[in-house]
Amino acid sequence: MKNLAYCLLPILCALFVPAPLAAHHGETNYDTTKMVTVKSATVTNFEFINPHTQIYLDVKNENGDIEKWTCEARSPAMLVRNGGWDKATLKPGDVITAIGFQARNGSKILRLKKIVLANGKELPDL
Amino acid sequence: MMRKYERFVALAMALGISSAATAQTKPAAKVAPKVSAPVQVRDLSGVWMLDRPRPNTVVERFWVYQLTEEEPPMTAWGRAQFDATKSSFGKRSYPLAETNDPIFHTCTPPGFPRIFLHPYPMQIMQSRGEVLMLFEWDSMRHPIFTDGRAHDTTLGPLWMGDSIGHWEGDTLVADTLNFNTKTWLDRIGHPHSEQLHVIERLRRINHDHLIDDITIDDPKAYTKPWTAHLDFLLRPTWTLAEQFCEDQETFDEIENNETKPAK
Repeated sequence: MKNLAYCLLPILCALFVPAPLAAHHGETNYDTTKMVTVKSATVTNFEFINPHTQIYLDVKNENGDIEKWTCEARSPAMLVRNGGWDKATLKPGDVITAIGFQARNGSKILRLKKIVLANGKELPDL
Repeated sequence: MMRKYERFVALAMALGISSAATAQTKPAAKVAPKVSAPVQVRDLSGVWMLDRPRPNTVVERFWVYQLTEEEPPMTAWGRAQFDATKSSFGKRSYPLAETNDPIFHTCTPPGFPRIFLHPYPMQIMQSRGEVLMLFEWDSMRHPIFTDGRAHDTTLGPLWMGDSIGHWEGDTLVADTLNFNTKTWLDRIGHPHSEQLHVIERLRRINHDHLIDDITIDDPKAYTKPWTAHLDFLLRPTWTLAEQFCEDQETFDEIENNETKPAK
């Protein structure tokens, strides 16, 4: 059941993306036709900065190697207003799930749409 | 080339029948005005967020990057300028490594009226003789003087232009010119020249809903004046936050990684 939920999550996210979003830095570099879910990601740095919040993640792949992911999100103020984030939302060592659009060239960079905290709380990037 | 009186008539029509022009340029899914408290006459104050109907797909939602869905009537010069722009947004978007969007990598202001299309709130404050637009984006400001003064010709050309305005009933008519040519009209690269003249009709149709009918008159770039319609919804619990384009190096590094072949 849990696996099924993880499979459905990207589809549900794609269906319920709510408001027009935009990025200072463009969407061209991201494949906006599908959501990518990065599970069991350990936060190494959280920069709550303008114009885009940055989250840096370590993710162990199936070979046991660490992959470095970067997530680009909206401005801090918009995350606070629309998503319920704040500057203490993440700290190094937190384990989260990150969901978003991946860079078209396959780089491990996400244009973030949502994170799920270890306690199950979901914080959207609206 | 349009004669002067033809341009005048076209501009007068664009302004005089702005509601008709609005009907042509406004997206089909019109925002329904909310029932709310009666509006105070000549009061546009509040924190406002651009509101556009929600497109149906993930990709289509990015159409918010342009003033109208229809293609503006460009002159040959305007078309050539537009064809030379390489936006990273919209249907003909280019990779970041190739974009020549003037705000990229330099943190220069987006200019006017493009700044309305960035996804950040705008606050309007009013005092006697002045309506002041404050934008969260890069903490930009845009004063519209309503005290009867003429346009300031001592400065410029300017990023945001020089604005004077007057009230027609509950509608603020704002007249803006004296623009530099370093900006685009929107986020997908529609051009303008030094002849750009922007006429806005701002009206608070109820307490929570502000409309702005924006007429673009630029005879060098467009064959006739054309009008866009923007809706803004009040965000009564919001305040503008500090927002500057900071730490560009971080984003340049990320963008470089996005455009290089993946390892």
